[in-house]
Amino acid sequence: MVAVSIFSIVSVIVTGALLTAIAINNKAQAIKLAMDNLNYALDSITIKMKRGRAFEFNASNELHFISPKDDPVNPEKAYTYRLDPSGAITMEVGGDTRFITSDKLHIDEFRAFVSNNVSGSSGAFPRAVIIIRGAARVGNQEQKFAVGTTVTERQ
Amino acid sequence: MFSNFSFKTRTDLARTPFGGFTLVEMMTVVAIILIMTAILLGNLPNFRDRLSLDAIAQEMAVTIRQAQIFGSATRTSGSQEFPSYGVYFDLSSNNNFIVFADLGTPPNSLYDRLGCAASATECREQFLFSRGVVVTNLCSSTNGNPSSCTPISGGILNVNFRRPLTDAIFYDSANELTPASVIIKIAKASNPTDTRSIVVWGTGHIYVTK
Repeated sequence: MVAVSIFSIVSVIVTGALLTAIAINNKAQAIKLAMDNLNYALDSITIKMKRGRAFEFNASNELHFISPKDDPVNPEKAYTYRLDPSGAITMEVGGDTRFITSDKLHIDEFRAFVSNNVSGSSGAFPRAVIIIRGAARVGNQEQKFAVGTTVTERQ
Repeated sequence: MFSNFSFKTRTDLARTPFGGFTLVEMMTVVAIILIMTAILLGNLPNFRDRLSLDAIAQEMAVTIRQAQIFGSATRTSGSQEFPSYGVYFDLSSNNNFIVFADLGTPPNSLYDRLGCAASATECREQFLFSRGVVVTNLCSSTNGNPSSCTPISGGILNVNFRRPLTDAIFYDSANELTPASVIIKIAKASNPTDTRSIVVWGTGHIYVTK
């Protein structure tokens, strides 16, 4: 009786620990996916932006630029990135708006600091520092993040 | 040795110099082992199916990423320098998909020179599914969620990558689609409810989920 009781207690504890470990692992993987999604979104912005011109971050917290003439997808088009009220970043081009970040990410702040935005006016390259703050949320787990990158116009 | 398996009580055995298991104990242990083995063997085919489905889904994701690398970098195709590359799915031929180079002037992002046998076609690699796996659904989503996606009409999807961007550009049989992401669902033809989803975001993020 004592042996069976000890065995049962140990079995329940070990099974519980195993299930908890599996659940935590799944959530950690989901958070990693969400963070990868953010990295791709930021890369997507910067790769397009560095080939573009007329950087601007306006009072409505929108990041604008014009794509180059030889852009493979949308030549000479205005790109606008903004923070949607749902907490995702959206991209607008040619009148079409689409989400570029996952619903597992909740972005609190999307900001850019643009300097020398008139190309050649001061001899310095137009430059933008993009800052994104928020949290990746999966179930009751949350990982806060703050990422930033600098984009310089390629001339 | 076999004299130990007579109907003796533990108290009897404890008194003898050859103490061991009773017949009832041995039968119980053997019965438990048999039940566990039967459960394991019964679940083995399902386990192998799930494992192969996972492996094929990962291989698909890697192949799409390969097209992304070819398209965003500088891989020539025949006499044409640096074409865009893509992958082509067709639900009417759902046991395979094609990696293609978008040839022609100007390129149109579509796999429209069909056939993998002739040299003049756009086909660069045909990915044939093994173990009865098929593409069950092609759909688009605003948030990459496979459980709430909209089927792509016509059942044809072209995912294209053009240098220097790593972004994915989506087309159906003729027109550009502008969702945030597309989802390719695969399953065994014999068990279409157990699916794996390959999610491709417009930003170029590619991954496998359930």
